[in-house]
Amino acid sequence: MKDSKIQWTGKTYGGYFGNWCFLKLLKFGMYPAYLLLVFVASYFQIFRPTACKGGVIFLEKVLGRKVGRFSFTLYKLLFSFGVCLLDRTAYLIGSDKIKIIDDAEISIKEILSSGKGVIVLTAHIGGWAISATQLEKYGRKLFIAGVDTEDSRLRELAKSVQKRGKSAINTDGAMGNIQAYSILRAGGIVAMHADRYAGGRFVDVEFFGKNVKAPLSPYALAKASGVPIVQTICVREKLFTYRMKALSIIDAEKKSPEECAEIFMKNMESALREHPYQWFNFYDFWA
Amino acid sequence: MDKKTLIDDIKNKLVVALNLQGVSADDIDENSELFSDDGLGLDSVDALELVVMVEREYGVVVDENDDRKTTFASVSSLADYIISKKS
Repeated sequence: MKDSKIQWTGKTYGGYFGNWCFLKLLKFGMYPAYLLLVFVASYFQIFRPTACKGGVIFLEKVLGRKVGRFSFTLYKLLFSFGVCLLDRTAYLIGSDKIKIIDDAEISIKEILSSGKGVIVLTAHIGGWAISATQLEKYGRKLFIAGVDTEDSRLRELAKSVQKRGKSAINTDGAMGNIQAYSILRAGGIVAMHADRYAGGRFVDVEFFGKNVKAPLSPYALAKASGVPIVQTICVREKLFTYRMKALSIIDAEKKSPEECAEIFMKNMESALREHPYQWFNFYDFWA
Repeated sequence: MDKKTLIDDIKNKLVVALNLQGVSADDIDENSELFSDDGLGLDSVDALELVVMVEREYGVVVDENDDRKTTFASVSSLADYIISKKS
């Protein structure tokens, strides 16, 4: 199916000043930033109903029960989101406090050693932004596809302090897809999110009992270039520790895009049942 | 193959490879933009089918460093690209 309406904005909450404050606090360590987050998460829960709505909808689906707007359950999701964002920022500005255990490495290495390229698909779960930095270690051409709607001042602020994960995000649409194809054919790595629908063609796939729009492009790219997909997530396991896991290897050459999208969503469902407070799509995913 | 013949050939193969509904080769203006709504209105999935078609039908591998915007701007520019790669 072709174009449909996009439900998310992709903009960071908190504005320039809020993000600047957290950056300054991180210089004194993680705990002062976490402490401020306790209040910021409360502020969002009380005063930003739009930001909370998507969280409530998701939690009700995954937990199978009513979740109040002012419940501790929702607060947990908001706080957990903040922690992951702070950990990501700390990691990207060079902190050694954040540890990443990379279990997906074996699967990715095996595919690359066979001479093929690989598509690494992930979702906005846990430390998704940290996981992209892990792909730089393979010494292959890395293409990160995405949508960049971030406020330009916030983007500049982040860039000015960033020490890790400097690979540029390609937002070039159709031309970017051609470049990704060439990189994959030359044995490179293409990374992208496949949870959010960002316009263009999609397939309807069931997710927690109701259909959602899943982007078609990642699977079309895998099929065209003849490379497998490694579906990964990077979950926060405990304080300062993340684990990157390979949920499955999808052979897109032998499957239809619909089948691939179904596998992706089913795996994501299982992962989210295990880690319900690490889902960070704050909009009505089913709209 | 001269450029004119190649252009006609690309148009025919484009319609088939991309399964363009309600569009015939004659409807495609060789200079109109492939990825613009004012032109053929192709999308990112079409782009993949197009690059696979170029590889399969003309034996031309698109390099990641090639100027994609110029190459895939129109049927005419694509024909120029194929000719230059073949020569």
